[in-house]
Amino acid sequence: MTVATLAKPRIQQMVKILENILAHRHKNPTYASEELYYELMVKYYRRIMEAVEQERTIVGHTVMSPLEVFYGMGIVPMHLESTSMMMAILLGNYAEFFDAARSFGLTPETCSAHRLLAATVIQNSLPRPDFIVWTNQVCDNTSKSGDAILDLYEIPGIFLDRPYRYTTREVEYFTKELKRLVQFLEEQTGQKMDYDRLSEAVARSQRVTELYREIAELRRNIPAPARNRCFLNSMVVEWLYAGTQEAVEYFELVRDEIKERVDKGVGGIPEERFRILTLFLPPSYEWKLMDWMEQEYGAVSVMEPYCSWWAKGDMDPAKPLESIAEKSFYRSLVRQMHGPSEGIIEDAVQAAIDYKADGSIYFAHIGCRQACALIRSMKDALKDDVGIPMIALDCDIIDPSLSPGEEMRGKLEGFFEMLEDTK
Amino acid sequence: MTAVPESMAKIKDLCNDFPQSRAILDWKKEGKKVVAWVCTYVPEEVIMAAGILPIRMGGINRELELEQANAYLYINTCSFARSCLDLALRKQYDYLDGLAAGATCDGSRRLFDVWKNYIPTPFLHILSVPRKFTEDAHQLYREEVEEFKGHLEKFAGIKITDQGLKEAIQVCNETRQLLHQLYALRKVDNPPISGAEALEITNASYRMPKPQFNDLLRQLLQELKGRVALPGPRPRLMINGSILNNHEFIQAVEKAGSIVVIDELCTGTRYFWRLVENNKVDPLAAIARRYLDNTPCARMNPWDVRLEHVLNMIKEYRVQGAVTEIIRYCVPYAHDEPLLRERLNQIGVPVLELDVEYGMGETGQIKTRVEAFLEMLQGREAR
Ligand code: SF4
Ligand code: SF4
Repeated sequence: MTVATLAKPRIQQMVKILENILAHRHKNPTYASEELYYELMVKYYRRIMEAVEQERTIVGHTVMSPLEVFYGMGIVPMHLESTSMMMAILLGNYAEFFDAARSFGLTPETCSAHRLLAATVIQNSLPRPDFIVWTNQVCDNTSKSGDAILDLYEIPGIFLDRPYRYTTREVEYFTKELKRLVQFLEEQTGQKMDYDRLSEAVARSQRVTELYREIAELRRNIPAPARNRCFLNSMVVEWLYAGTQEAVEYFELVRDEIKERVDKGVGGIPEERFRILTLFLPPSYEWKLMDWMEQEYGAVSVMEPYCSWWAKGDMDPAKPLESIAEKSFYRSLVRQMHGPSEGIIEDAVQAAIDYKADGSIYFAHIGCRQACALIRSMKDALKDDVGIPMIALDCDIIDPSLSPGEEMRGKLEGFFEMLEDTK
Repeated sequence: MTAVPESMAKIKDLCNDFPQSRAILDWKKEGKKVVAWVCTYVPEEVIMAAGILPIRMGGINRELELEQANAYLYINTCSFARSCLDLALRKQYDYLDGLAAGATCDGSRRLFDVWKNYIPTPFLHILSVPRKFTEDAHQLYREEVEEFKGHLEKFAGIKITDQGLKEAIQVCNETRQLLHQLYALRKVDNPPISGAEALEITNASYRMPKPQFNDLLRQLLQELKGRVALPGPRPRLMINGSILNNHEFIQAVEKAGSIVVIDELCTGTRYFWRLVENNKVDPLAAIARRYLDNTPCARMNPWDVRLEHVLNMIKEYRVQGAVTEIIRYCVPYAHDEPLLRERLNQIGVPVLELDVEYGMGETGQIKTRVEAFLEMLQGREAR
């Protein structure tokens, strides 16, 4: 098979595998929201597959790009990091991709999420977008990835520069960047932005934010009402569907499930023993680790200050671009990763108190510099201000060869034993 | 190598043992303040106009274990940032009155974050630095510089006047012009100054009071007349990539039989290449414009503005080969590398890529790889 023909069969293969997983879920139901999660995954990648087949406009974009704008324009978004990551996970061809990135010349120290992305582009495995939108949210890797993609695909692109601090002038600057984006999209598609549709997307995004906060409130309960998978699935849904009705429905379902458990006084798992603050993201190849923690140790993630915590801020459909710009300063992951350290450290300390955490786990993804650089500061703050211990687990967000699940389980066993002794 | 000119020896003497170097300690002895900056997007003129000595934050010229820093900044932070923090944790920067950072890359902003958490320093400031060259970006950055000025005024207890800024611009521009003159000498066949020496001089330009440096550099320019730094002819190389302070690294490249005639480093050309326009009514605006528009770091977008600078340098300095040194975990430069290599290969300039740690000098591996590269270059020339 020539390289040029890889994209179509690969995305078809992904959809097929996801459909099989979904069928399996339907046969073995757990929570309705977990089934809906897989339905949404199938839908998302199927839409990309169909867009490829029907030659519809696809915008490739990096994490935290303003989805509302794409949905407002009626174009098909393709989350670049998620799609390439999902492809590697589902097709199990990490080694092939990492080799390709290495031969291209990317050093192994660059984030594996972006090496993988470059590889899927080099190998023509990723559906070729018509243009790309990339931003410096959430790190230097995201800000630099776009250059190579443009060069390899020879397609147009626009870079969105999200400034560092959450001040009025910086929000204004980013709003102007979004205006530039709209202009770019209009030029590329030959269509005009539908501002009514954009406002509707913003209203739905605001609804999702409110639901996130409502869920966060409910999660304070003891026993913890959500399963560990819930925050991971929710995060991905928001990454792919912000601004859509699908996202609203998904989060409403999650909220209802959690509320029902709170009302009944039951937890997400049968026996809760340890309340854990999860810092940063568990490796994508080992989300099962979160299930294992629940099953073997009754360890529940009560809050995730990096990826589930939304600081103060609201969106106004009457001011859609301003609202989308501002959201990228208070929303989860971006505020914490692409802002001064006080933000995330204060959030984590507060969360440890509010959610009565017994300990915290920091996933130290070796390619992620800004997440790891704060491990010590975080550890000291949690110990000094709240008196809870932290374990840092060395891993890679994507590459299973770096830290296999077994190794991480071994370290966690020791941690839970220590927590048990100190109880 | 020919004898070291008197002024160069003086410069070395004043800057030896950085950050505990004489030029800085003498300044402190007079009861005056020192603020370190990291990195080239922090406007020195504003610090100077507050009567404060700006020095560039730097690490140590050795490849160390960095145990202290590793405990506070994770091992995957670039070794430049860790080396700086290591020195601070070992109290080598205790004389600092302040640290001013630009939120330029993950490495430098997290260095600032962790510094703030563990190193007691009276004045701490971080500027948001846009990654674009648009008018909107200029407006934002101008306001950031204005805020920085206000913060410094409060800290120093003085008013920074337009006159003070203009005087600072005048001094800094003089440094830049003198460095341009020095670099121009490297265009000839047998340059009077080696690449290693040139880096020592640029290092000194941000590690001592600029008027003092300017006097010494003026003297050096006189003393270099008729000098040949390294016996020639030798392949003419460019060095580019991540931050580089250790001249011994370049020395190692030159020892193998080359001469480094130009660089595209933030400690070299990118530090001084552009001047601030000093005829403007609003000096602060002129400063802000120059810093954002200066020959760019790999963080800036679009990336080919950086490429253009590299290509211009190659042409002007008749470069035959390029050595790219990328500090491990330096993401901005690592991402540019495949694209840069391809573009340079297209114009027939081979590239030697070296993964290094900050502070590294000569190592066996570097020596072997540089020798092989030079052999290949000489082979091409002979063809
Ligand atoms: S994991 Fe870290 S380094 Fe990688 S893309 Fe995400 S924020 Fe950037
Ligand atoms: S540019 Fe590279 S070397 Fe310099 S501070 Fe940033 S990451 Fe470190």
